[in-house]
Amino acid sequence: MKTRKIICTLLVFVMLGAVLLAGCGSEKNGGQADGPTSKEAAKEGQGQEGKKPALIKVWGDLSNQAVLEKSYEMINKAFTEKYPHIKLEFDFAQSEQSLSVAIQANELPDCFMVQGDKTPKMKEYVKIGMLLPLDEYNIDLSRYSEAEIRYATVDGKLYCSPPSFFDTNIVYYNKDIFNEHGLSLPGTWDEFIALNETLLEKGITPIGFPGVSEWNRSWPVFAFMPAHANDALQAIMDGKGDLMQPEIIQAFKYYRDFAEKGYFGKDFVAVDKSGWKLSFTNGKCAMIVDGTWNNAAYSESGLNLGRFSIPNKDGIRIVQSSFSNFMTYAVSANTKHPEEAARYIDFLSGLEAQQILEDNIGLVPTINDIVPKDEGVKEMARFDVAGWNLYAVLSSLSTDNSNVSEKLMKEVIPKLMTSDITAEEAAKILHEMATYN
Amino acid sequence: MIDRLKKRPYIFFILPGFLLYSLFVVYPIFSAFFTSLTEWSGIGPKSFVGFDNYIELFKNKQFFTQLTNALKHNLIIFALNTGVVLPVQIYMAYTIYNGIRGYRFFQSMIFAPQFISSTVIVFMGTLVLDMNIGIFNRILEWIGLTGWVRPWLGLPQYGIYIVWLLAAWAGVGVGMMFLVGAMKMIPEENMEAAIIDGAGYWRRLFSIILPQIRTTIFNLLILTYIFSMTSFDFSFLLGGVAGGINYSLDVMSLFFYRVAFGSDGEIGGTLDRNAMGMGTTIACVMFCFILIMALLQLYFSYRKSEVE
Amino acid sequence: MYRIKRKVTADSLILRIYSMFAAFILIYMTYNSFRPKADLLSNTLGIPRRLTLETYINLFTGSKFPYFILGSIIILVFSLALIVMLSSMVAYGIGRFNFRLRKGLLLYFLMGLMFPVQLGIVPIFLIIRSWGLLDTHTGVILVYAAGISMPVLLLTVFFQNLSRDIYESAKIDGASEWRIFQSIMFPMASPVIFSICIIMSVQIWNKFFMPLIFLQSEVKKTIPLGIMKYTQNLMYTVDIAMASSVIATVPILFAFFLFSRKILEGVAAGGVKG
Repeated sequence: MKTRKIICTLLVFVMLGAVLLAGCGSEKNGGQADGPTSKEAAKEGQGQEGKKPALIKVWGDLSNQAVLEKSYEMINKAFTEKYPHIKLEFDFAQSEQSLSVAIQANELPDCFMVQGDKTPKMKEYVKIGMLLPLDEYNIDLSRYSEAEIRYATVDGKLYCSPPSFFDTNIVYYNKDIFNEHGLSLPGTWDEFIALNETLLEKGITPIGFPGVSEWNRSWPVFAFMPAHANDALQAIMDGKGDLMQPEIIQAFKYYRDFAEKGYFGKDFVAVDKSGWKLSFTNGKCAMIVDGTWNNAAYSESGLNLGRFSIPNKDGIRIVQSSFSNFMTYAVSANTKHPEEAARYIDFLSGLEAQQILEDNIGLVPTINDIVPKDEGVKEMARFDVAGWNLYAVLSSLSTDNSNVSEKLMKEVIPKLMTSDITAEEAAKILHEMATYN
Repeated sequence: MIDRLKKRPYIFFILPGFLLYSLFVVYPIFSAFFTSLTEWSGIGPKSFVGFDNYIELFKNKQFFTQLTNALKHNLIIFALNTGVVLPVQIYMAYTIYNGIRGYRFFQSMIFAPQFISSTVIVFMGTLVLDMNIGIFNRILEWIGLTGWVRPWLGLPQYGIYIVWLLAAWAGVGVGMMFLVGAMKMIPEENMEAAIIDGAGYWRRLFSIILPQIRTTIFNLLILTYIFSMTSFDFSFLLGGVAGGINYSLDVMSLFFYRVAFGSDGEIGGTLDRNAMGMGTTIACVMFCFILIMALLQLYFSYRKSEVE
Repeated sequence: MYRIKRKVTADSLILRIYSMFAAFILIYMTYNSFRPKADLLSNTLGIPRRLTLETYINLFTGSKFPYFILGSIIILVFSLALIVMLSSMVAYGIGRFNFRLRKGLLLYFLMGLMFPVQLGIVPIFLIIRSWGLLDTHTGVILVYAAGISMPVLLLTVFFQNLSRDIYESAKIDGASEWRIFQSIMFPMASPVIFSICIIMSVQIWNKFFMPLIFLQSEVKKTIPLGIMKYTQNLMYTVDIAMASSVIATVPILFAFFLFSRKILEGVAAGGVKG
């Protein structure tokens, strides 16, 4: 008897399922009215011009949803207030894979996030005609400098909203530890080394370091490289030098030395990225080299936090710089509403949206009219020269057949930090792969 | 037509599942196989290259070392799962089957890790095993073993064993429940008879239970093999796309994933412009490895059961 | 009950230590989910300054997490029902009847376990889109319902091992094939079906790749996507990551705890004796 009951329940379930599935299907076919939350209903109410509002679908960066969610809620609200005839459907649905599937299935949303000239991706998208050129849509570019516009253009045409924030690496330090031992901020590279030595003598791990995490373990290299070899990197970009210049080898050597001398702590090879950050926030190491985009997380950790940029031998602080892609979006070439989609891009390129993002997460702005969120952001902006980003330089030396920047990330850095290779060998491996213009 | 169906009633039973399965599972495999015969970056046009990708995979030294290394790790995981996890599962299942005191609590607790997502397991691993903030290391310090304080989770020399350990901890419950279910299906009379004959606790396991649940164990072996060969999560979470330092955590699925989606350009020759083509090739090779072994296992287990 | 309770406590001790370890992890996770973020980050090991329910309140009022739970449950229930239906029928067909292609067919159904799902995603996507089921739970349910490899294997073996007598005696009564299946064979397989339900529900509950591709709007997403969202920027949302993991784990475990007790004991014994 018992068993029969189970069957009956199962059958009922299946029947229920069939009914519900049918219901779902018809709802979907009935138009875009699926899942109207009260918020969206309110938005619709504002489009009272008798015209049916144009629906713009936007994909946000899924991997940074937790960071960006609140800012975009506010940005999108401001946008719909300004353009009541445009109905915005913003979903954090963009991952590398969902985008790749959408491209292959020709099902792209109207707008989605791109990374500009930071990776070769946008160029490829343009090559296969996936992106809409935005030049004729009146995007206001008057606030931007040449470098920012270069990020957003391919072959002289504009394809995405230009960046307005900076990403760089910075040294976060624990003020309590510094105060307790009477340490002061380093003014030159030699003082920085001395600082590490002092901390080591006192039995404190100077710099937290995650050997397991491919990107995070490379931040010190990215920070040391422009600090010591920015001119050399510039020479490479101008086609006047190669990767074997002594300054570049020297920067690699510093990285290797730091690992070897124990500045990165014991067993750093096995530290993962959570353990790494938690060791800093718990006061187990005095400093950590991380991205400026994580500023908010550290600020909220309850730590007595300070920030500084690494000085070179002459006390000049040259930081690696790349643009933040938090607000750089492109328009699909297949969009049915190019004008409306371009308005969204234009809105992201404007001060109002950028200030909202700044007030929420506190990045380093590259445009003067954006007011920095707090003292912490100003501290991060305290550097002398915005230098080259090693990854970008190596990308420019890569071809279809040899990816030098990935070689750095996956092979050279791990071997260098475990002292498997010397700094000269590191430079040589990359040099031999590179294609100079 | 209806007459024919009546003669072959199994068609009626098999058809609905067959259709859905073929559409969503088998057809995509074939479609991927065709991709493996092309040079393709994932976007833009494909060009047909025949079996060139397969030839390159085995000829290119870089690829081949990574392939054998990853395969070796998969086989290590399989060996450990068969040699260690399976006996443990049988042991646990047997004690639970015997209704040891508190077995309900035990079976739930052993099964529980199944429900925790792998990301959280790894994070909990950090909270327990990390050198600076891990509880385990604090305990070591506390009992005076300061020299043993290490970041156990990430040490590259133990890499693949840690991957196995986490996966085993998370997965041991399923197989166990499986075996418990099978043991419960053994007729009570058999057990009664054995007890009356005076068979001891372990003897009953070896001479009555194990022979009776043999097919279940065989199935478990096949599934274990498949899961060991397709393991991905923990290698990815602990070592990233790169598969750890010097590929110490690399497995086949991760290798395929790295080539197909991970912009693994530094490998000579085929870079991104053939990411999808080469990625699917690796997956197809992996598929063949698994299929051949599963076929053999299936063949032997079935022959055995038919002989008797 | 003729099983003799073994007096030796060694087994009990081993299991106890092992369970304690798992329990410890669960309790530790639950405990951490009640701590405020700053405390978790900068005082990870220390004595808590205070415990709070804020994270949970935030999770349920300030985010779409209740929708994620709903979505996960809908997908789980319907795909599980379909899987049980389809796989038991297929397995009965293969295991009960003798025909030439049965071994090959079983292997055919096993193939699905051997191929990484990521590779076949584009064709699946195209089918789902052509049916207009993108961004619906139905689409995901259908794709999951096709994943019947493992249940088919388990059930086929079960039906094969059943003694022929049962089939024959059922047939003499003159019942139709469908009736035999539905009222005799299916109930008889219930212990296997039960373990399939547990195993498949765990898998379905934790899957995130399909939902990642097919479910786009926030209100349709599932729990694993939610957890992924909070663990990806762990430093920002470590508190919510903990709380959402607890919610994804503990209630299910609780249900499992109640569930396993009833069915494992009762149905298993009854089913075999028929």
